[in-house]
Amino acid sequence: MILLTFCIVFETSASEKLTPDPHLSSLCYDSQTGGSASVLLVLNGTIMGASGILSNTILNPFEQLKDPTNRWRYTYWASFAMTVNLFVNYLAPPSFMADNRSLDVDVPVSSTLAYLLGGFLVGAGTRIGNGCTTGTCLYIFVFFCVYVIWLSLQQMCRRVSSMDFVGKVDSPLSNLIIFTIFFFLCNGILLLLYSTIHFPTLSM
Amino acid sequence: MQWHTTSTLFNNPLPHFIHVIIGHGICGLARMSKRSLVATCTFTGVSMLTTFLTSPLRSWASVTSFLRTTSAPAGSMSPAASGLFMAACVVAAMIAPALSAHRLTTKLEKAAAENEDRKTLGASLSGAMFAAGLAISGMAKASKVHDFLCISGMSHGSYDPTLMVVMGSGILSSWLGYQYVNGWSMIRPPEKTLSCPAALSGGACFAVPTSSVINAELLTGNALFGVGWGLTGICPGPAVFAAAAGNLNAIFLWMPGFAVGSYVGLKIKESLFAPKVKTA
Repeated sequence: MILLTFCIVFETSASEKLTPDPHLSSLCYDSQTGGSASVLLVLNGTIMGASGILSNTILNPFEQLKDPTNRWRYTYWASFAMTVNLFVNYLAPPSFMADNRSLDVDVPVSSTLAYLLGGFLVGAGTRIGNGCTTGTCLYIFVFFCVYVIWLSLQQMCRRVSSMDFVGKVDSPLSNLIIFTIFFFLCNGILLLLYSTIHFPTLSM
Repeated sequence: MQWHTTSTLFNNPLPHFIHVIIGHGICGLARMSKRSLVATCTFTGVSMLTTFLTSPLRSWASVTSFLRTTSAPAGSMSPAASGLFMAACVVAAMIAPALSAHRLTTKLEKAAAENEDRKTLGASLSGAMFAAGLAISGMAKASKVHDFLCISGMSHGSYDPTLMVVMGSGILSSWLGYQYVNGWSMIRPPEKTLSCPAALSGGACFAVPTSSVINAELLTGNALFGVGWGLTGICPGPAVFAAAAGNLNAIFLWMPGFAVGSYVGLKIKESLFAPKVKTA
């Protein structure tokens, strides 16, 4: 629990830098969506799928209102909407929220028909295909990326010593060490990206 | 005509190299959840194809011009609509407990309802974090998504692998969560993981999907989703973000479309993809 709290606190403080920088730099430290999926999983035991939460709320609003098992979805959207409202209308500078890239010629701006069609297809697709992207994508990347890193780390450790690395992970200190290693490994790659963009002379 | 040339993103080989590793290295691995992998690759591929076909840069662009408009991007933003949407959500969330209270009779129902009340903290925290994440990363902007989906942008420097990177940077946070779930942990021994969600009282279990079936349903659904995503650059999360921010197009066009689409999708799923019942 301490690790989770630490992670949430770190992410919250790291995302304080609201720069209108469109580069990867300001995005490197955003793991909020991952954190939100993780929170929903550990605290509530549900996978975060925006389409499922949304379509259940929209399709049967009055039945769902009376049904206690779906109450949390309303809370979810209420807190989501409040955060967005607060952010967009009060906290964020207008330059941050402005979508100037859409003014360019090569970016299509959707027409009425496109919005209607798009909404329809996304709705139909998510219901037929059993779910949305939010949880799915993060779910994949959780296992694939980290599994790869974990495997290679394990291989390295096996070569260094013949002890089984996994068996040693049973104390808070070793948990902390592993957490630190993974944290800086994952964010280290992004830090590298950040530095190569902002200090191009160093990368060459 | 002014061409927008983005930064040093692709002039610098190192990020490109890392992008290839992250992007292709991940999708190239077939590991635990093949179903999710297939799903993601399906809709990403289809949406890239859709973006390619509907891009205004193509020679057949006049054919697809009905999907585009020349008015201001992102429709009109209305702070009043934003406030109303937010108020509607909050009111619904607040009156929901009052509406259902009278139906609880048995002790089992009351215990289940208590568990539902305990979900409030996690749901509100998660909702707020998701909104913040979308806002800060810029994923709520359709143009950012477009820059990721439009592969032809690679040739004139506007390709933006941000979406992939943002997903990748959610790895650790989400992964940390899974370390606490029994059966999905990689570094924690089983006795230190949770077998019941942290906020709920005993008896509840984690709803992690274990289905590994790849069938026509999955592919069709994700293909449809991919087309819809490619058309507007909006998926459900950013759509609610846009609605809550006051984007009138999202509220009055996308949401009804999504509602109708969800209904139709459920009906199609029931009729076309119904599980075959063996008759004696």
